[in-house]
Amino acid sequence: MTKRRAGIVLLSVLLLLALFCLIGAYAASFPVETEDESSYLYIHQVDCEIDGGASGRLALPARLGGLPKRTAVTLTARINEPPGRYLLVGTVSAPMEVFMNGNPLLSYGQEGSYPAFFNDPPIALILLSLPPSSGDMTLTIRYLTPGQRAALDIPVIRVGTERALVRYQLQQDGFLFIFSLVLICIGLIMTVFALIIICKKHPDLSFLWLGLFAFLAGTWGFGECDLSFLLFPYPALLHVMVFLSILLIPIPFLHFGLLVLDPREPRPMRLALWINYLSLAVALWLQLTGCMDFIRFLTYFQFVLIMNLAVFLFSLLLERLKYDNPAARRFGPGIVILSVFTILEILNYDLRLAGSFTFFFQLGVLGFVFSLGIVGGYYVRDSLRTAQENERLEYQIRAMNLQQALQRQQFQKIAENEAQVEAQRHDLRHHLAVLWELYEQDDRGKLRNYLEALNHRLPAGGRPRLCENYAVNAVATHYAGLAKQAGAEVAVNLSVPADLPPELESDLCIIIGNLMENAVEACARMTGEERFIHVNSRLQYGVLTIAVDNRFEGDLRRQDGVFLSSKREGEGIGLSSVSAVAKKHGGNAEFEVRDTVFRASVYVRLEPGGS
Amino acid sequence: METPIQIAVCEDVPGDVERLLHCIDESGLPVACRVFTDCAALLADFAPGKYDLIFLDIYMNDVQQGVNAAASIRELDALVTLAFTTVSQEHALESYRLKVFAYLEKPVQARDVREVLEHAGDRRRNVPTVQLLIQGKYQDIPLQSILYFECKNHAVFVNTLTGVLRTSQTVKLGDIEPLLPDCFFRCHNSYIANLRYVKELDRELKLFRMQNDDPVYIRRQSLGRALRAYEQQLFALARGEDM
Repeated sequence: MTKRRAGIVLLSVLLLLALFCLIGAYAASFPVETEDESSYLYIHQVDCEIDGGASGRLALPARLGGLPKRTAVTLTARINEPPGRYLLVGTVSAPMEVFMNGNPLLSYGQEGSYPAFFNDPPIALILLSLPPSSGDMTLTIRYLTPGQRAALDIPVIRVGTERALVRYQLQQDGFLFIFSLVLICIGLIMTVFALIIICKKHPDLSFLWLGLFAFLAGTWGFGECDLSFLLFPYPALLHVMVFLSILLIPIPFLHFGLLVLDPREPRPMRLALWINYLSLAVALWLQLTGCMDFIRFLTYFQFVLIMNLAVFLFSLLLERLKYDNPAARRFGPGIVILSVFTILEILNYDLRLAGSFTFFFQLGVLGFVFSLGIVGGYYVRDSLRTAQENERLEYQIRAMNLQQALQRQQFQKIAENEAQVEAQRHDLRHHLAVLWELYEQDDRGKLRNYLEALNHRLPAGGRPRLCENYAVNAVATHYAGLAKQAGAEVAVNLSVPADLPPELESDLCIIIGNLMENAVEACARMTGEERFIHVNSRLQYGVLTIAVDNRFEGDLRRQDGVFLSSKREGEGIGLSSVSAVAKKHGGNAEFEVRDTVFRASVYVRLEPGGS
Repeated sequence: METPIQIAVCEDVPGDVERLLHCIDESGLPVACRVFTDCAALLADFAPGKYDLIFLDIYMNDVQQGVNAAASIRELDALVTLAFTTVSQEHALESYRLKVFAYLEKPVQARDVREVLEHAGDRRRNVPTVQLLIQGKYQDIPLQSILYFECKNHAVFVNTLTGVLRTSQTVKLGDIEPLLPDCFFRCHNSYIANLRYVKELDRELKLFRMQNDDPVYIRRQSLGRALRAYEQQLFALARGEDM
């Protein structure tokens, strides 16, 4: 099974899992109800007394602003409940004490009961069992205003059976809770998957970043969810989860974007990444030294989140519109989903659109993670393909270089032979002079001996030059000779200038040599008549075009538009060599079959310059 | 009466000039002749489309200037008929490359000269043209004298080897396009290029650089097709298959 298919299977499994969880969570909110168990009481109205200040009735939930740090606010309510009932009280970063009929029930958030680097105790929601007495009771809750928040938020107090209270929270936050758990799971699985891939020597970080992103989104939601406080009573840990998630989440997000989008203009995203790292460092420093709680600069981080999104969107649009980056198109839906939901989420923090925090963000993240899972899958597939392609090309180039080196030697030898013939022709003049001399002397014996000796040494008659360029001419002449031997009609019209840079000259020899060699071989394999090889060329505006046409018989094997070698497995190295050389000199090559004629067309740029 | 064949003779030996002019006269064809005694003067006077036929001596002042002059002329004008006059056969290969029609050995023969003249005359008469409305009159413009068409300010301009013609307002690029053979390529809303005169295709800047260095822009979506059309044109020309 390929990694690509594994990725698709994994994504489908995750998708199914998430769907299952969501439907389950929804179905679980319709339990069997009994009147008694399902009932619980809200305490909306309390008597309130502010230390050294006003007192009176207060409607819950309430927000008391403008109080000095650590001002005691005492709430008193009378309740009348049967025994075995529970009390659900919460605090938003304010130390809290709960008394029943004057007896202390709970003391939360006193100095030393939370990490020292927090200035205020973390947010908490606590389930308390009421004393087993029934009848009228006086409930007293004393808050001390927090130091780092502008106001004291007092949530509603609830009384009821344990089951009813938990179920109430489940209905309120069950969706978000399970959602967050799903995201955490997806994140962890993706991260593990990515690490496995990385271990298998495929340095692919895209799924790692995406996994971390999902994981952080999950922990954020988990930390914000009220239900978590009931099922997982570690308020300090939950607070740290929220705080770290908000700080860290843009980092994998931007890394993922940089990696998968691979923008031509990476500077905006890099800058955003630096801002995030810097903000993270400053926030951690402020928090850990106890100078300032994270909550004080929440607004700043909301702004940073929007900025990250904006930068991401900007880069995406730039890539899409200016550089036509295909990855940008794939990113589109995911980023739109995430943007819309993040903006809703930030509004939610201030306007309370939905019951719980991070609800929208979680939805957006889930959509984003799934859509980006697909993007990541594409990315992995593409990079695997590219790797394979590179391997293939590397092999081909190695084979080609070897072949070209051999050919250079061969063509050099051909040129040397040709030079030898020239030299011999030069010698002829000398021989003629000797003959003339012998004729003058009228020494028939010597003349006869000399003629006999010459007869052995003289090569067959000279051949006409086929083109101005000496090296190319040598190669063309060689193959034209072979073609005539193979019984083909040969017409060579080559216009290659005499003076060319040596490398270009040798590359042109490779082109002409390979094409004519192929043509000669095709003609030699033929059984029928009408064998021909036509070589044409044209030179204009510094562009040399060469066309070699030959008749052939039988089938040419072809795959994906590439002609396969008749001699060995795979693409004909000769033809790919011609293509590569042409491309090296700013040209191209094309091979086609028309009826029984193989047509090879190549052009190269003789003068440097141009594109 | 037929317009005379425009001839340039470039020859530095007075006797050879006289003989050549005599042969031209003898043919009885309507001609207009100009004589240059060196290549520099010819090149200074030369403009694409100005001459139908040029006789060039390969060796002038004992240097083979003629071949270089022929190369310069060919770069500018693909249509003009070239004839070498020479004492040696040495440059037969160059003459092929430069599409030199005739290779006349000195002393030139009247029969050969007449053949060259007739060829040049035929070539001018049979040259394919396109009929365009220019300044209210229909004119036949030789296709191979056109570099490209450009639409600018709602008017179509015809850029030819010899200059720019402005067609009448009613003429649209879309109307001209179907009249043109395959070597013309509509590469842009505002351009049709004659691929024959494309010097190079600049993929970065997305344009054809024409023979006279004018840019002819290619719209992004057509870049692939433009490259293919350009290559096909190169291959067809190399094979001598006119598109």
